[in-house]
Amino acid sequence: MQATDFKIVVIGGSAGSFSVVSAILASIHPQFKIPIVLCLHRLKHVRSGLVEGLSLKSVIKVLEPNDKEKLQYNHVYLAPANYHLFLELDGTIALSTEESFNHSRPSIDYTLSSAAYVYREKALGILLTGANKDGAYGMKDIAGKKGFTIVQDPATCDIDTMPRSALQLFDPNLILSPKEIVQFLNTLPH
Amino acid sequence: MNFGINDIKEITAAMADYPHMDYSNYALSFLKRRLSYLFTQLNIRRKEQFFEWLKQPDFREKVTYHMCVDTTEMFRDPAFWRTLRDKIINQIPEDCENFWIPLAASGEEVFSLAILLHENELSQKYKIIGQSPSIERCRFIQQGKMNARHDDVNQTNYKRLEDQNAYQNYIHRDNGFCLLDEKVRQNVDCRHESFLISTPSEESIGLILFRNISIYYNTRLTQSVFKRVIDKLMPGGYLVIGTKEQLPAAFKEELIEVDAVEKIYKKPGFKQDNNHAGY
Repeated sequence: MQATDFKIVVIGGSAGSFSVVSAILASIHPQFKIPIVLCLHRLKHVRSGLVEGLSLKSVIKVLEPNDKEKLQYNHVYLAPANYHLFLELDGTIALSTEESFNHSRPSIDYTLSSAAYVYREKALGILLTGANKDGAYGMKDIAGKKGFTIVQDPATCDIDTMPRSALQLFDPNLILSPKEIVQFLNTLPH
Repeated sequence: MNFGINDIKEITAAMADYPHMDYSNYALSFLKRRLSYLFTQLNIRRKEQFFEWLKQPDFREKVTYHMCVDTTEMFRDPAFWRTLRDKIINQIPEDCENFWIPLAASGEEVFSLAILLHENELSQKYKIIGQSPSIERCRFIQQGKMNARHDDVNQTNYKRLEDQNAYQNYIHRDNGFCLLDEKVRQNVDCRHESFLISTPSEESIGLILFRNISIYYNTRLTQSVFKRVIDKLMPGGYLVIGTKEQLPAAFKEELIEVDAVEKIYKKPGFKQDNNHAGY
């Protein structure tokens, strides 16, 4: 796998992940090309605030997509509150109000598995700190399609349930600290 | 089961041979997981078995039932319901008699509207027409039944909307279901038919709730269903879509956006409406 081949980056996280994602978006190269999809567990009744919070330090445009919105280079897409986010073969986003999965809507597993199906070996999945197991199977799906997987080093997590659940299921390509995740992303094309 | 694109095309083509079962223009990501869910729910192991069973009407009803996506919450997006109650209902055209929910997969959206009308003493004025392609789902709605699993979130949303605790005046538990009180749902008329095939014959439809339905369709079907829905809306009436849905560009000229956040649109009815962006 050549790092230049990635077509999508999906980052999943839950408890404690806001500060990690915020730090990534503040330090990533401003011309980072590959679309980034963020699937973070969030309060379903709070529809605004998270994009604004992430945008404060982000050097890339962060937005909450509408259904059927086309993914663009150099954009960050945050899964909206109370919707699942899937990726379509035509490069668009599909939202869903189907039942919660892993007690979560958006479900990280759903978004990651969808990326695995559509982008296969060109998907990069990153799983961060979190307090439940959501995301573990989605990461395994990406690994199963020969995509690239990075799990946050549990030693650096606020709550390590999420990365540990993933590590019990499969061996990721890399286990990195937040700082190392940024360094890795900045080796990708911009 | 894990379906590839060719499997999905083959399965939807077989389904489309039967009434109310054309899913060929649904979003691919939806079909992939929904067909997988369907095969699991109905314990189907092979496509060929599915094709054979499709010949049976009872089985087709089960398929239709499971292909519908439950609404999962009453009063989803409480801020929308607040806007509807405080700013829209009193602007509905005077000669409106009907509200329409084109796809009532489960009772939550219909019953939320019924409670809102009841609390505002408007139940006698407006009929709520719901449509469902599944006989069983239609029967549940007509009986006031909802999935009890969603009761907590329903109550929470109601409290966020009304800032009071009257929810239990309307809903009670019965045999594993939540039941909406009969007096609150007297104006609910759920019809077993797919709105993709037939729309209500009533003309005076002043409010259409079409929230989070087109997200399951591809672009082509989305275009055609919006035309179908907007054509049924009376002049001066309101259309509501999901907060993360987009009105197709072709229809943006036909409707006035009155609330960009809650995605509420008005069909111009009078001369003064044409350039008016308020409620």
